[in-house]
Amino acid sequence: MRLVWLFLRSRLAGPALAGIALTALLAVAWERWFGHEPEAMTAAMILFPLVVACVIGTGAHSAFGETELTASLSLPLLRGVYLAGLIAVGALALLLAALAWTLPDDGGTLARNLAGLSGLALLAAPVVGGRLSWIVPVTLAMAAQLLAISDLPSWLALTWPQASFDNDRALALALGLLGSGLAAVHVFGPKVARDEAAG
Amino acid sequence: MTATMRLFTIEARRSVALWFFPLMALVACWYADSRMSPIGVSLWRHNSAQIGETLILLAPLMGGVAAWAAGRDRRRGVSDLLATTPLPAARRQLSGWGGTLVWGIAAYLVAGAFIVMVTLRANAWGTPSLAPVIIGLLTIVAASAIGYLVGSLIPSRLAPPLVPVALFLSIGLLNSGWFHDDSVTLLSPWTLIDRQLFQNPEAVFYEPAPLHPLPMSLWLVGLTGLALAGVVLARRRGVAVWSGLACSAVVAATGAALLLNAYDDVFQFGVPWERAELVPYTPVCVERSIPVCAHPAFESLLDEQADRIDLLIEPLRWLPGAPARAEQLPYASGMYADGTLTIDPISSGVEMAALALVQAPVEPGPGWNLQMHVQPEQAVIARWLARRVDAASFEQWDIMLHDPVSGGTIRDPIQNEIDAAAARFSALDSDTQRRWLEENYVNLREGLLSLEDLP
Amino acid sequence: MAVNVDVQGLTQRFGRTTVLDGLDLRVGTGVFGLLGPNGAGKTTLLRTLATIVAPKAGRLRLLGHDPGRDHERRLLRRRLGYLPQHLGYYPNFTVFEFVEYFALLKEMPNDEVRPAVARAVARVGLEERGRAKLKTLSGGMLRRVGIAQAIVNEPDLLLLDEPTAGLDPEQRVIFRALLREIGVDATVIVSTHLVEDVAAACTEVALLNAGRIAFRGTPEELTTLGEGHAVGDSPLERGYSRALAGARS
Repeated sequence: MRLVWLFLRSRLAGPALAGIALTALLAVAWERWFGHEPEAMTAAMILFPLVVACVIGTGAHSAFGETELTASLSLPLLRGVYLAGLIAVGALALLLAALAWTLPDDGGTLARNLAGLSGLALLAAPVVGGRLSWIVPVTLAMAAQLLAISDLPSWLALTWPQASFDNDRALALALGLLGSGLAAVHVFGPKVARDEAAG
Repeated sequence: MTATMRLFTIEARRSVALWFFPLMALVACWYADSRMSPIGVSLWRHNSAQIGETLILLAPLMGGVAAWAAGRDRRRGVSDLLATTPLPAARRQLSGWGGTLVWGIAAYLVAGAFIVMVTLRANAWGTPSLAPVIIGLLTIVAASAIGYLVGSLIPSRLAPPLVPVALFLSIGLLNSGWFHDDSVTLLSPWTLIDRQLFQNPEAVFYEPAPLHPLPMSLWLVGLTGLALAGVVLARRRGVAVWSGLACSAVVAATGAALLLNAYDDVFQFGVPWERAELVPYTPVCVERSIPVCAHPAFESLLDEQADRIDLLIEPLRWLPGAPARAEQLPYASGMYADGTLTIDPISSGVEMAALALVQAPVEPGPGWNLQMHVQPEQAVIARWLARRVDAASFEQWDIMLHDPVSGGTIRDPIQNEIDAAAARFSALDSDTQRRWLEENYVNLREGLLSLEDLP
Repeated sequence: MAVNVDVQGLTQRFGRTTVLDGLDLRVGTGVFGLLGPNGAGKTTLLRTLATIVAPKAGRLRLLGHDPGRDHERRLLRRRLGYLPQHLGYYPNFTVFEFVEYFALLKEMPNDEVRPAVARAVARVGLEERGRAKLKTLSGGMLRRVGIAQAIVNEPDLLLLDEPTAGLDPEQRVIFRALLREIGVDATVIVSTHLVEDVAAACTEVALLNAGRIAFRGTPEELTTLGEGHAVGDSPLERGYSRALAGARS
């Protein structure tokens, strides 16, 4: 238990959880401000999962750098459990926030988008590092949002966050991204820069 | 090369933004390419605005990358060492910001060059417009300055990802009109540039909505100044910095005030289109059985469309009231008493011309909805005419009726009967068709027939 | 001899912890060794002399300048070299670029920058790796890059915090020679735990304990102090132990 506690502290789990909670509160406030505008609520389906996904992606950062690679205990396992836990907490927070919303399937779409966008961030982490992993989900989310408000040709690979929850292919894609992301971080670990300080 | 230039060169060469440059350039080109010719022809005004429109992706991304770059010294643990150097921190930070920004500008220029190249190859009509391009550039500069400020002030690892999200939301939010007071949306450069784009062919006839480049530039330059003054203030306070901050605030406030006052100017402009000012032009014409003319912007489509129009009017050519001329006009509303058939040079325009051919002449000008006023028997002949030209689009083409409940349009409930009658008429031999038209065309156009009068 | 470092009653506190406690120090040209146990205040003293942190109390004059004044601090920093205990660096910069970057930040005359960079890199024996990116270098090489950036402007006041940490024996020998060479015209203050460095390179040494100077003299005097004292593997270590024990008693 002590190890888990210290591990969580090293990953700045407290600020991460606070960030997720704040995002959920903002999601509730968003509905109060812009609930009358369907486009705003459609944007919210991507926006809030995206912010939580960024928090999760930065959570993949290797706090101790190369030292982590020398630990006899399996830190990748601990990291995987931590990230899965963050995703679960993020999904729960968004689902709770969605209770205050009025549109159908809000919770499911939010959870699916969180899964997919988090998966993208985790896939990016071994390449660019945890702290810069947000670049991929942010870029995709912007592209998806633009596709939604324009007449651009839409490919599911880009537009899945905009799909309704009953779109099975979008759901499968999001879950596939999440699984791949978790596997990538587990197998390869986040990119470690030996000079980088924690935090 | 001066020391500052050399510093800038080193920063640019080793900037993290260099790694994002290909991604940013690719995304901007993709976005621009997919919106380049929405009305079927290439237009300089539209494509110039499209260069500016890439700001919607590049500005947020640059903001995020700048926020990341601003935290570099802290992340790398170089702050102590840098604190011992005599060069003012502001100059060092501005070099770092410039070295980051240059790659965002490069991505913007790549997207711009791509659009210009495609536009040149398409032999586009009109002249390039520089204002939206400059506004796009200034937006990217302002976004990167804001990102750099956030990255400098907030040491959290969450700052860099939140910057692009917030910037994208700000530009998008201000553009979407989600606020009760719409005038605030004018603070988004995207709002103004978006109104320069062509959403329908009629727009080529009119002056575009005013872009207000000067107020928008003041607003963006002021924001940039405020952000950079904030970056400097975090390190050094002095009269010069406070003065810079105050000047930037005044410039930004002036720009914002001018923009907020431009609400009627922008949002009431060209609503409806016909209220906007017509731009003089000389139509281009080709000769078929009748002259077919169009706005010069659509010259590239004219030959093909003239052939289709020629084929469309072929069964009616010798009948009284047949068109004597076809022309694209600012309002494609029907056929006039002088025999002018209004056409739309894009491919779906044939269906509208078919509808015009079976209805009574209309007064020149806007306001006539061909689809809403068509009678079932007229629709049958219009379908037959259109099918002769393009069966594929004919199959997708429904007769729409005005819906008094919703105020919109609905599919005609007797659509199946119309379809069946059109199929029957099509199956007749050409002599029978011609005879029926000779006897009934005038009455058909006047709406004096019914479905039962059809063979 | 010119007094390049003149410190009177220097006090530094972090929260309630007093790190430097009314410290007095006057140093001229030469290589000045700073010894002391962990937490004695060596790094804080060097950071204060490097103008990173302002003193909480006391008077400071460095190279004749008052670092409390903006203009004088800027003049002072042009003549200052500093190697921190933990050298941060930009992994994508090459050796030349990193040293040039700091030469530019030290406001060296434009036409002198390139030759000075080449000279500094050569002095630490890295000329063949000049175009290598820093992320490809070993820890010892990075330390030498740090030394190169510190000496690139040929400083009159050179502050080195644990400069030989990570250097191999051959490089340490070369580095000590470099220190002696620089110390002929400049003031070099070296904070170290390695008494061999002090013995080999320093003209004077001070032992810092709990924010105060517990001993000051030449390395020979410190060696003499340790005679007959049993703790330590070398004469200088015995002197160090003796001086420290005396300060603590």
